[in-house]
Amino acid sequence: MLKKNVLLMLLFFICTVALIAGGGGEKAAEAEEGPVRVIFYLWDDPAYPPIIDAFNSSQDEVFVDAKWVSLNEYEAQISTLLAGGAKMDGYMQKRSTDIFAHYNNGYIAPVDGLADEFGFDLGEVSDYRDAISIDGATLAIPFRGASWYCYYNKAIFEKAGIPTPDTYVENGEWTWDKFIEVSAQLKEALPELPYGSFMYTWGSSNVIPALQNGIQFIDANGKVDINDSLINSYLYRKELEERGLIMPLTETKVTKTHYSKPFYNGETGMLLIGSWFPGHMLSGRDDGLLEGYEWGDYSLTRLPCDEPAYRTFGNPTFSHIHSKSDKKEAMFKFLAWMGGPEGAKIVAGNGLLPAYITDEVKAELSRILPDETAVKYYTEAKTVNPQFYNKYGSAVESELAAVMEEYLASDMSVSELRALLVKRLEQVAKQIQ
Amino acid sequence: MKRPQQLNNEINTAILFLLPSFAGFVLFILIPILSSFLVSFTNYSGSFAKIQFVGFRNYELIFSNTKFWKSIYVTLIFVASSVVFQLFLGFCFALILNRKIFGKVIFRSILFLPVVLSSVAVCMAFLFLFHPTAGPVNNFLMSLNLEPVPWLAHKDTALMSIIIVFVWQSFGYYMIIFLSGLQTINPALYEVADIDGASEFQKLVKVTIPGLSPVIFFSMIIALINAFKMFDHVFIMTGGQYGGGPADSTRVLAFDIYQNGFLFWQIGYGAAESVVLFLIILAITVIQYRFQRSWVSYDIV
Repeated sequence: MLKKNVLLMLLFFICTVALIAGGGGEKAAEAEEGPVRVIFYLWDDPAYPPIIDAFNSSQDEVFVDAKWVSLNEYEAQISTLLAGGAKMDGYMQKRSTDIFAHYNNGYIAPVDGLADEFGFDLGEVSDYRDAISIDGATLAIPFRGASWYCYYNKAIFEKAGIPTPDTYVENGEWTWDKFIEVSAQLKEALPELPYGSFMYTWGSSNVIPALQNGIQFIDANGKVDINDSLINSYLYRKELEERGLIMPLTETKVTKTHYSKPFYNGETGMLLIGSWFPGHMLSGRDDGLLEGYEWGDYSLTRLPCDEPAYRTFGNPTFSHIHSKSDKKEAMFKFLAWMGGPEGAKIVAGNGLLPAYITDEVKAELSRILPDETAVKYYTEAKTVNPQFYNKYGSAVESELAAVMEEYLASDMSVSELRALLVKRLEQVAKQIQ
Repeated sequence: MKRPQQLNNEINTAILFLLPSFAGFVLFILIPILSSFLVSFTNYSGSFAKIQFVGFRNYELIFSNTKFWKSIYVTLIFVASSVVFQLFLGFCFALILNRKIFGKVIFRSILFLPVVLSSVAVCMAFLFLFHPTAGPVNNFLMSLNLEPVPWLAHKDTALMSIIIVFVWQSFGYYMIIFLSGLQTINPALYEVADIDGASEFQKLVKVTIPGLSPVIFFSMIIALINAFKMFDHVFIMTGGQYGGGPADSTRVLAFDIYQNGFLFWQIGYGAAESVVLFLIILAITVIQYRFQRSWVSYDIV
């Protein structure tokens, strides 16, 4: 009996030692010579691997070990990784409003000191300074600019015999009513075309008029801030769905239809989406996914807009250095490269709007955008309203999407819709302190 | 009569063998439950550096939040429907497969197969089947000149779709439990019932169900607990982290907890919701135990 007990204790001891030793293996591996290896988390956008590869092959001081997380689950997964203390040196921020929660939780290291040390001029990305700073500290380096556009399939418009949207832009007629009208004209001229236009499922995709108007939904003091531009957003979407001009929101969600699919397949004349879409079109072209049209048959122009002066919306895409990283300098070198002139050329070459615009970047964009109209509108100076940009932002976006679904599936009146929006936003303001 | 020393050795050996399982219970069940309870009284949002005690604030917010009450409503509808259908189908198929029919072993295996399949695989398969425009189910309905069903794409049918998938995947488990229960009923009771001239229905009501009552009770407890905890079907079939169904029609409480905790960094709030869910399940289980004396018979076989 004593022998058995001793044997059991010995087995337990061996298991414990094995567990501890296994954890130490990683540290042993890191002590090897060579470039400094930094662990960087980001989502699996097709445009990103070439950017990482370009950095790794451009120098031999730092090696970025990219950890890819599914695009659709990135927010929840990065939350889990951060809260769980996963080992990382930096990560890309997908939902920009999460910067508030991450900063509050102490996950992010400010970059001001490192920028001074390495001579990186944060002034070059000063357009986005508000989006990357909290309490005077700069918390990120943006590498992608912010803007949304109306992408359109010229072949479809030609077949339908309808002027392309840039014509209405030039004439100052490109309003939301005109957008609905053009969607309807496309469907009427081409009954076999599934959709005149396409808008995605995100909360931001469905309240574009409100974002262009610049309302905060919940301001920084926790007060609800909405007006008719938000109500109109819901009315426009409902009209588009009721007239069969757009894929229903719930169907898009349930069938997990990615926004690129209908555009690749030539199933929609127009798509309202952000500045990263040319990168998707490059991938679509290279993978042979474009159906019924050639590369040069698509273009882009401004979003429809009801405001007196044109404005678009968007938040830049940026990356952080993890506060617990012991390789902050190496991580900063990568982020500064990605957000600086060298990285901007690679970013542009992969169909993304860089945060850092130079003549070389514009030349690169000219090479990858399909035509002069696209280059003109992609790179023009414009007012870009930030979206949902405070600590309530993440919950606000989700709430707006949920109310949109409820509204679309009901016979809610405008006053009922307004009351519901106010009620739901007030609850968000109360819940998030 | 064992010597005290021998008894001590046996007890120590028993403790040693139980230790790993108990350690696992403490580490992975008891401590997380206690932590959740404690965190529910804080504003914890992912970092212990800024954690503060907030008393019952999270609970006040929960009970004044319409989304929470909607989640409770959806959860109760889901639980009631899925438990009834799982147990009913499990019981019916157990009765059928308890008879001498050709191929019953094969049928048992086929009906039990969904239980062992991955929920992710099942949900992905049904997403395809329930596609509102191109799915085989709607194509079949239209071939019969019936109206296609929006399934997951409409608030009136989304929850029903989730229930169908959940019941389909789970009823085989209860079928097996009922089958094993049916084997333990004394055949002499059926002979006596035959002699007394009882019909098939009377035998079912007066012999089978009372004889199975302990098994039914056990199955009810398990089915209720599993239904309250259901999350993956909603997550996979209604849009992932931004899911919850059209107009939150499939937003069960477990999903609301997940979103608040993992998406909106309201971990203290999510913990409070999970405590409420725990208390609801506990209350229902206690009520079941209290009432079981009136209908569960342990001495019939």
